[in-house]
Amino acid sequence: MDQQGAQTVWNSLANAIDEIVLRNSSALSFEELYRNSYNLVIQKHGKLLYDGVTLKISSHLSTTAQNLASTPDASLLEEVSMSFDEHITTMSMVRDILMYMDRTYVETHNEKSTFIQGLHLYRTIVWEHSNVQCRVSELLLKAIADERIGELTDSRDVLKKILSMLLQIDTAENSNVYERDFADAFLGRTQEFYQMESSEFLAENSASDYVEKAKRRLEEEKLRATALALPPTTVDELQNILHTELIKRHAKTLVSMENSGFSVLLKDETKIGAMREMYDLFAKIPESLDDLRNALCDRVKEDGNALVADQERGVSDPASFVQGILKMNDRYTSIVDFAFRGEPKAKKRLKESFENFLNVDTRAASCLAVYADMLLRSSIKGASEEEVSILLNNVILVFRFISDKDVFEAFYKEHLAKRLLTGRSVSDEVEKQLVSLLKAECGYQFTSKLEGMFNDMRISRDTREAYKNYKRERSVQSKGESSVDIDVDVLTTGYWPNVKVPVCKLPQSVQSAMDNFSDFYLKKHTGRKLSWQTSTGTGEIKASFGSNGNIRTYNLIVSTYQMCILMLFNEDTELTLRQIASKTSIPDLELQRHLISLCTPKYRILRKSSKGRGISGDDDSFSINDGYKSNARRVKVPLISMSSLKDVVQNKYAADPKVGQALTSLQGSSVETLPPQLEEERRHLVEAATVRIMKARKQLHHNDLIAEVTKQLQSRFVPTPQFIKKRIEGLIEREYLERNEDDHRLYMYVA
Amino acid sequence: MFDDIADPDDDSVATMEGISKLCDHLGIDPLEDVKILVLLHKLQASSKPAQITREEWMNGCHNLGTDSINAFKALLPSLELGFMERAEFRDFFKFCFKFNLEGTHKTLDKELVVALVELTLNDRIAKDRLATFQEFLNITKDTSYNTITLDQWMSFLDFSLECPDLSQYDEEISAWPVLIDDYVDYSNGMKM
Repeated sequence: MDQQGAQTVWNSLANAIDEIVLRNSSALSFEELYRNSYNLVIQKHGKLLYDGVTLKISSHLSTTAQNLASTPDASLLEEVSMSFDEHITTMSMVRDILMYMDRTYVETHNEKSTFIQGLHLYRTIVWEHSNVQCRVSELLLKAIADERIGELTDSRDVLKKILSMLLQIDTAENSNVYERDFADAFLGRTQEFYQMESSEFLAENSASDYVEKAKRRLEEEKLRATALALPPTTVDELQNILHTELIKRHAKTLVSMENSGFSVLLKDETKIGAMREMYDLFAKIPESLDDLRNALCDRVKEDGNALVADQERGVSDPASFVQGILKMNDRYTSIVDFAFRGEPKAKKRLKESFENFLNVDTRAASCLAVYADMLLRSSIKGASEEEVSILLNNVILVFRFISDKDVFEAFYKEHLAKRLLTGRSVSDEVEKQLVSLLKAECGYQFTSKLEGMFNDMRISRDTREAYKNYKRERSVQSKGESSVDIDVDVLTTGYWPNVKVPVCKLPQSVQSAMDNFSDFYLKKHTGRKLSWQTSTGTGEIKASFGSNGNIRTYNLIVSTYQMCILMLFNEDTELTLRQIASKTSIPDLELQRHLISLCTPKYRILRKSSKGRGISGDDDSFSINDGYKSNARRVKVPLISMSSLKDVVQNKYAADPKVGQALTSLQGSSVETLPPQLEEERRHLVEAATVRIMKARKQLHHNDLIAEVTKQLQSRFVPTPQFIKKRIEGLIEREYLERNEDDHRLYMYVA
Repeated sequence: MFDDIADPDDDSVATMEGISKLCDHLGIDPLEDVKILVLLHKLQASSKPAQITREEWMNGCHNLGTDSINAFKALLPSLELGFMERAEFRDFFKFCFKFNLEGTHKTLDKELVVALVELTLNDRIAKDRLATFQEFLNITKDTSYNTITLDQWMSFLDFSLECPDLSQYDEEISAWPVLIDDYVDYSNGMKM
């Protein structure tokens, strides 16, 4: 085929294209057109064909462009969309015709394939026409902006179509029109819009209202993005912008705002729903959740410190303190469960917050022990099994927060000892229940001594039975032994709280009863040693008051010391304090306490020579109050409280430092310092753990050793790294360990 | 030579009296001059504190090649602490502690420590470090520091060499003895 022939063929094709454009293609024969283009290519006229098509399409597109350029704004979007649809239809058909060219000429000459060329031409001629692209972009953005401010706009459909047009062009020829002519500006305008709206709204409205509005905006944008079929990259960036402008930027304000911020909501139990709404919003930016968690912790800290302050000032007693903690726990747990949707991080922070304010000193440990004591002495009377369970579990709940668990154990043991020895616990079962709950928390080591105490009581009961039988047999054999009846509890020293008080001088009849028991017991258990604890125990004395004609006899139930004191008056009518002290060997302060308890207005069994509540001095003298009367036959004489004693004694002996010291130690350890035996026990435990660990590991770095020791001991107490370090130094000095010569942080076990 | 300084009651050892005599011969002041300690260290008088045995003396002299007082005198200049390398100085420093122990004690009194560090560390660590440490020991009311252990002694040296700058010192993670932590507190407190 020569040039002219080719030209002719081309002309017919060109006409065909015109017809296609006009949608008159039904009159055409696909076969013929295909054949024509095929021939042109085969006959080496590919270039003619290609260039011709390009020119032809270009010319049509120019017309389109002109038309669009002069189309008014109101209908521009629709027109552009339609023109593109038309163009696609045209190009599909043209492509079909030119398939052979696409497969051969286009490939070898590195040209754009027909369809892609069509898109390219559309872009450069129509879209990028000076009066088309700018207006269309602006119209798109305006439509979205209008929607955002609630004005009615055209259907989103046409917007979607235009965006998909741009995307299609970009995909086809690797261009950038979607971003350049829409997305960049869209994201930019979105950011400006929300930056302003959010700030303005927040300035005028409450936090909860803001959260509500933010949620609605997020929803709205999401729907729009779907409706416009925005590509994932745009959606992601859009989301980032929204989250930044709506949430991140205002996170701190939303928390700290007066009257409606998250911090304020936390104070009001009814606002738990609003809290959750805020949580859900913040959850979209995980880092900002820390702001909420921090607010929670601050709140707990404030409440906790207030609780502690009340307790310190004496406004609330130990039981109220514990109940306050339980209430706080309930409250904040439900906030975490509901508002924070039970997320683990918030749970952890909450636990830490409690641990922080509760462990500033040993107050929590001692109050909890008092609270438990109260429960086991009285509160659980008449409570159902379920109620008891709840109460005990509450104790354990608070117990878990306490890091100085050994302090609690020490206090608990003291209270338990008193309850067991005076028979004051409501139920043995419940006592054991609590101990086994503690065991479940801390292991056998923690409760072994407590269980030992229970055992001692049980064995003592059996021993008493055995002793009764023994006495019966013996009194059958040898009559005339005047001794009194005694009931003895035998306590294993290691289990019970340490009380190192020397034995006082006892009435002969009592002493011989004790000796009899000792004989009996030591015969059964050779090798054991008994030390009598005269600072505890009670005695029942038959006392007669009055003179001929009017003699009143009562059974007085008094302490061991009081018994010793009263028995003295069988020998002497009047005794001074000094004399009583030397005849009984009762320690000074206790002597005063027990003596004064016998001279109170309500129980004036003895008459004191000095006036006033206290004892004036060593020469103050006492005698039996013959005029003593009581309504009851059996009189239980109470001991005055430690605080009462303190008041009375301070008046007289205020200057004597020994007295003050004794008073403090009688009252039990103060809250701030650790009981000395616990301090020593802790040192010992740390050393033992350190040696054990080093023996096993042979050598260990400082950090690892500290961590291991802490881990091993933390169910009992939490040693500070400094504390452990001091013990390590001690062990180095005693040559259990040594420091590595080259690395001072490495410790080595010395075999 | 050894007979001259040997202890009158037991001629297998030379005690502080004999050593003092040796110092006289050498013309050095045992209280002010650290060279005698260096010498004793080089002679490896390490079996017991405050003495050197005949055997140690013989071996030491043999190793050093000193067969007369003059030979010792000639050796004196080389005993300057500045000539010692780090590792050797460390050994020497340890020796100083052990040599100065009293009887069966395992610790040194703090007054002695203050004097000894002056003697031994004068040109080996920063002057202000040395001075503030001595101050700290003198001023501290903590009775557990009335005596100093070998661990604390060696740690002070290592610490001074490893941590010239105290601004980065983190007490929380420090593995140095608590004495050092307290010293740093003191030192930093002063700077404020």
